[in-house]
Amino acid sequence: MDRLLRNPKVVIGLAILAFFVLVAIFGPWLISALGLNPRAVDDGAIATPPSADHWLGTNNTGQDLFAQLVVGARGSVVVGALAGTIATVMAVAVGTTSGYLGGTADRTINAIVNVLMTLPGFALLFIIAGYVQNAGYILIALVIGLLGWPGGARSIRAQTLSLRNRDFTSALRTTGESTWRIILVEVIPHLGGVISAMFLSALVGGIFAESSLAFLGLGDTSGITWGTMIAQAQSSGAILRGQWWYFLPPGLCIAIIGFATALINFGLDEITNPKLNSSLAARTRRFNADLARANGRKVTA
Amino acid sequence: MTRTTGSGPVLSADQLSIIFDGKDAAGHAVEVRACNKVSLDLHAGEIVALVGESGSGKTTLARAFARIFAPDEGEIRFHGERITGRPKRSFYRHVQLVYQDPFASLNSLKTIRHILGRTIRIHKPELTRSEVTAQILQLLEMVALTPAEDYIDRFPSSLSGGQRQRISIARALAVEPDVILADEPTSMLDVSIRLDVLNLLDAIRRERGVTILYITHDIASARYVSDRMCVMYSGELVESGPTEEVVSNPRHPYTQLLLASAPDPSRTKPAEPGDTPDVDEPADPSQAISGCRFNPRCPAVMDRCTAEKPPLFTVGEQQVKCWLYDGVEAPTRARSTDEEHRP
Ligand SMILES: Nc1ncnc2c1ncn2[C@@H]1O[C@H](COP(=O)(O)OP(=O)(O)OP(=O)(O)O)[C@@H](O)[C@H]1O
Ligand SMILES: [Mg+2]
Repeated sequence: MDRLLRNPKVVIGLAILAFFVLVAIFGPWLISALGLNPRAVDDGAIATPPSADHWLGTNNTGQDLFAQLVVGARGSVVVGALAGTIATVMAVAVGTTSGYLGGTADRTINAIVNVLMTLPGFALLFIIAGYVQNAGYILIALVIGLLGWPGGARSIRAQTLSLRNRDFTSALRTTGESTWRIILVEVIPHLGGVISAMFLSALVGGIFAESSLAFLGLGDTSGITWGTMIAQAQSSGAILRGQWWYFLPPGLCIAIIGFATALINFGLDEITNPKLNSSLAARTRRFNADLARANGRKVTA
Repeated sequence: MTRTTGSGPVLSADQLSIIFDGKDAAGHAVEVRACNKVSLDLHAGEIVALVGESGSGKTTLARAFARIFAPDEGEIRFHGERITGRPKRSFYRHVQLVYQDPFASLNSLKTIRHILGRTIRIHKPELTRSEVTAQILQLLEMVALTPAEDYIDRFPSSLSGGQRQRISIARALAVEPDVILADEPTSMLDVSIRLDVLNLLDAIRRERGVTILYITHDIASARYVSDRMCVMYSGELVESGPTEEVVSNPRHPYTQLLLASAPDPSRTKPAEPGDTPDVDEPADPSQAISGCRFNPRCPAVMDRCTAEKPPLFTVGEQQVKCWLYDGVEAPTRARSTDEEHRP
């Protein structure tokens, strides 16, 4: 934990994510506290660029886009976080159990994972969303999460398998440590990199999938999310007319979240890969030693 | 695990074989008998040294004793009872393994406090947090990692090989076991600390009656600390007996070779340089050899050695697996001779 918070990449990435989470939680209150309403129509300002009255401009029905962006964060972040959590928990539970226990359990789980991996995720989502008219974003998150774990489970299984064969897990077994504690406390921290990578990619995937469904008109049309904002921008021709303030901010928010997750991943990689750390430290030490020796030689010469 | 009192061995291997799937030189699948019909008794309070060249199966035997490998043939017995199928946690309350490789056997993401603390807690869940800390500090002091406060919150990656090795030893001691299987526990220690650790092992044996299997390449340290010495060659136990007897009067040609190649100035009977063959040749257990497995390297090889596997012969206080001793000095054969005899 300590080492996490000393890595600048992780800290910046987490700060960005935390910002969006705060917006998702408190955004709607903030907007009403500012006296704004994302659905209110300002007849005097239709499709206007950003101004003092409307910080991010208005759309073609005269709704305030800043209010929409802030309120829309909740739907997008909830879908992403929920989908990411479901997919990650499933992948870790299935992958570590399968890899650590091995044998028949492993073979059975592997067969199921292989079948699930052949399912075309987004197409399935498309069909389900089509059946469930105006699917709420919770349902969308559930579907994305439940379809998103097999790939991650497979890579977690492979890593668990190799950890299982390392001496340190054997040493834990011969001290009498229980299987579930070995998996949860000793093995899973080694998977930190894979787990966070898969959570973050599922999170971004969830936000993307929700936006894509909304864009295709299959989302929850009554709600406001970044996806529905982009969809409306597209259907009203804002993209063709170059009304950038209409579609750029929600797209940018999605991109920034993607960037933050990538930053965290890079940072975690540095931390959980001690070779990266220690080899650097060792090289520095060797360099310093060489330097000292070279200096010493000069002095004695 | 019920413990029968009596003079029987604490832990014993009875005709134990551990078989791995391996490949021969041509790449064909063969069975590798890393341990082949090994019988070895460990009695309470004794230190038994297990020596033999690399690949002879020492680690495999220790791991079989620690129940990492299940016997493919034969049995492991704890106080005379078969251990197969018995609960493991209570077994590890009594038997602990010190792993050979201290770089691989400690979780790199956990502090020393966690590694030792968990081991203590598993077996003594009633202890409070501060009692556990006190025990960890005491263990660190026992293995000469002082000041202990400086080490307790460090990660293994910040320790040297020798320091990690001492953490491994401390972990085994944490359980206060009856048997310690120490797989080359001092291989990375420098001479002064090596002596400290050997004295520590000797002290816990004397004070607590702990039984120790001491695996080593270092004949001098084996001689220093052990009561009995067992010599392994290519998966088989070829000679065993009181350490002093084995060292001063090695019977098996392989033991003679091993001692001749060990730099031990105090050895009383050095082998003649001329009659010892090349030492570097490995004893590959995947290789099929008929008769005695040592016959391709043996300076005293006879026709019989390539035809028939020798049983264990008792010579004085030693047991030797070599045809040279068939009826020579002892008319009574070893206990397990008949089972061992392979036509
Ligand atoms: N898990 C395994 N799978 C296949 N073969 C193995 C395995 N473990 C050990 N072996 C083989 O068994 C033989 C004995 O190995 P072992 O590690 O017991 O030797 P050792 O006496 O401890 O050697 P060293 O002194 O180098 O530690 C070797 O030929 C080794 O290649
Ligand atoms: Mg070994």
